[in-house]
Amino acid sequence: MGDSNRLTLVASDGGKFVVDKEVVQMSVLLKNMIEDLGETDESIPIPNVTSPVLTKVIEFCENHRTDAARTDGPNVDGDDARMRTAVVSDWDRQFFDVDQDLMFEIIVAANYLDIKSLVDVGCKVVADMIKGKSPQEIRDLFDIVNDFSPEEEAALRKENEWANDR
Amino acid sequence: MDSTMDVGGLLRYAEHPSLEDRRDALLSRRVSLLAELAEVYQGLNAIVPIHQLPAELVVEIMAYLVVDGYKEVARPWRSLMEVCHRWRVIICSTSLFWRRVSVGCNSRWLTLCLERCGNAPVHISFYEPAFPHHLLPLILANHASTVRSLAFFKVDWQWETSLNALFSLHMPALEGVAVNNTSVDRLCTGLRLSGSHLPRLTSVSLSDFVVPEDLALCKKLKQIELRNAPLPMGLRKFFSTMQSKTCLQEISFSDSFKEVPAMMQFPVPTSPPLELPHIRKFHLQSGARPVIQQILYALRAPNATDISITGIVRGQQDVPGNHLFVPRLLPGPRHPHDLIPSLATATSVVLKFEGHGPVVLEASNSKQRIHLAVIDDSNWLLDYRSLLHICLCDVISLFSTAPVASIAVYSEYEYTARSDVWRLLFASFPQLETLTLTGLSAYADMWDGLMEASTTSTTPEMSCHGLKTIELDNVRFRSTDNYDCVFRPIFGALRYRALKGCRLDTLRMRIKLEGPEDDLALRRTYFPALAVSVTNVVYYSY
Repeated sequence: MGDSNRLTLVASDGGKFVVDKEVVQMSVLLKNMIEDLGETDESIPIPNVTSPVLTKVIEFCENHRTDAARTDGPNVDGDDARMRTAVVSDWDRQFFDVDQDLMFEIIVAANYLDIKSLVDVGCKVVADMIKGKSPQEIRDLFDIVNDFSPEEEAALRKENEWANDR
Repeated sequence: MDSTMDVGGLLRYAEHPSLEDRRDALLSRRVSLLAELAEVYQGLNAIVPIHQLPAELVVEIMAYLVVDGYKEVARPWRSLMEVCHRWRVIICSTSLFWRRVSVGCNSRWLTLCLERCGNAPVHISFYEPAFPHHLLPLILANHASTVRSLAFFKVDWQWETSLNALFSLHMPALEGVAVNNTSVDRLCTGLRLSGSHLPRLTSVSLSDFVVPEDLALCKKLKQIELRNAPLPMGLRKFFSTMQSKTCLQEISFSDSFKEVPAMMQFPVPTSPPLELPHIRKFHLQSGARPVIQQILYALRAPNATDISITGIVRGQQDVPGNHLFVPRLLPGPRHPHDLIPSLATATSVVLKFEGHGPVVLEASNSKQRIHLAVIDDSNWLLDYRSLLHICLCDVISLFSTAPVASIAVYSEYEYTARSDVWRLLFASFPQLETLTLTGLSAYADMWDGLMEASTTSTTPEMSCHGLKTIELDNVRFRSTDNYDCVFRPIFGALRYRALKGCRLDTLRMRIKLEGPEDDLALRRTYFPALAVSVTNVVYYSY
């Protein structure tokens, strides 16, 4: 019988990670799985997450393990009044100072694992990257190409005229 | 293809009878090629990292930008729509981005936003009087059940018919209506707000509109804000209808009148004021003293936690007598405590002189806050030399029977008051514990006043026998000041009080110095000497 306070996560590429249950429970998905499994030595497969991404996710959870009310994020039901003013800490900003592939994979993994705080921080970091930029600057930033059809271009022009009709 | 062939080809085309057909075919092919190219680009975009995010996370990211940019008329997502096809599709299909609609002159924009908003509650703001207002009832008819608030920032009298047609729609979700009439010298007189058509109306803000009689029929009203909005039914009838509204919590009246207009000329009520016990917030601003008098004499809000009265004056000549606040904001013959009973229970009083801003007198206790302000709109400062003197007289007059424990004066100028006013102040507040003065000069008159009040007390107990703390912030010594002269009255007053058993607990001073030698002198000579009379001397310099 192993340490009952720790468990093993298996990434999609087979990488194994032994972590504290307390840390893992920041993920609502894993928390529910652990409750369903009860006391067990079985490893938990995380089929959608690769080792490099899982390494970062665990790093985030370990750093935030003592945060209060960690699974009680703001309401995501589209309420205007929801709290979107949380400041991203220096540590969190540093955490997301990675290439864009990894950054978005972390956010997607956090969404899959249902780690609200990591999703929130990731989205806020991306929002800060976008803030104040023109459409072309945003395209340049994320390697997006202008893919509008002629009809869409025309519709956009028309809508802009309507909206700016002052 | 070489150029000779090309020219030859062109010549052949020129002779061709259906050249225009060919042109049209090419243009059509260009459109379809561009559409095809767009599809290819969309395929290429599908593999960029950011497009790995599911749509709900893209919305999450954009929502941060919407809230951040909310003050910019909720349009930050407009540039996001122009980034790529996917983002445009996501934004167009997400009601979150269409709930706050800002409309200029174009009705098609409003129609489009309402379509995209779907069944979500929508807040609509109109900014241009040139909007085709006659279309409003038609456009909003199919969305009447989802409109949460309507704000019309610049309407003129010609809108009135359209607004009435609009408000005759059944709008079961409408909670807020704000209408600002910008017609020059023309009030809107016939607005109707039907309680049965607008059953959830909780907030009404009217500017330059005659207050509709049927406002009283809106049962759920919580907030009423009236600016230059005459009451044809008279003050007493208006307040008596509001008495039955247990939901009503906030009333705000304001005007820019210098002279009382005919529609506001009601007699000063002689009968007792009507009580509105449910009111929590009561704000009143007027340039006409009779308007303030009429309203204050007609209404009492005993449970208001936030009372604000603001008057507008034109320079010192508009301020009668030795007071600034009392005659302007709490006019006689009734005593100010009759008008606002909570004045008599204030425990904290703050005077603020904010440059060219209003002169403010704030009083509060643990439950209530009263904000009195006088704005000088003549572009002249009130005579600053006597302003502190006048305002201290107001403080004494308004609060001397209240259990005031804390008095603070915040100032940007070196206002002065004679020692006899300070003496009267100290003598008038036996329960005073803390005095805070900011931005004045060395306060020699205050210390003299404290000394005089201490030595001439007519009661067995010394004046302000509970005074524990004096805080002097941003004290500026002039280069001509002699420290001995500055500190002599401080030593005198505090030593006398200490000898009589009223030793000060804390003297906190933050002082602007001319040079480092001043700091040494203060630290080595003057502050150690104060230790005889004060338990804690806290000193900062800058």
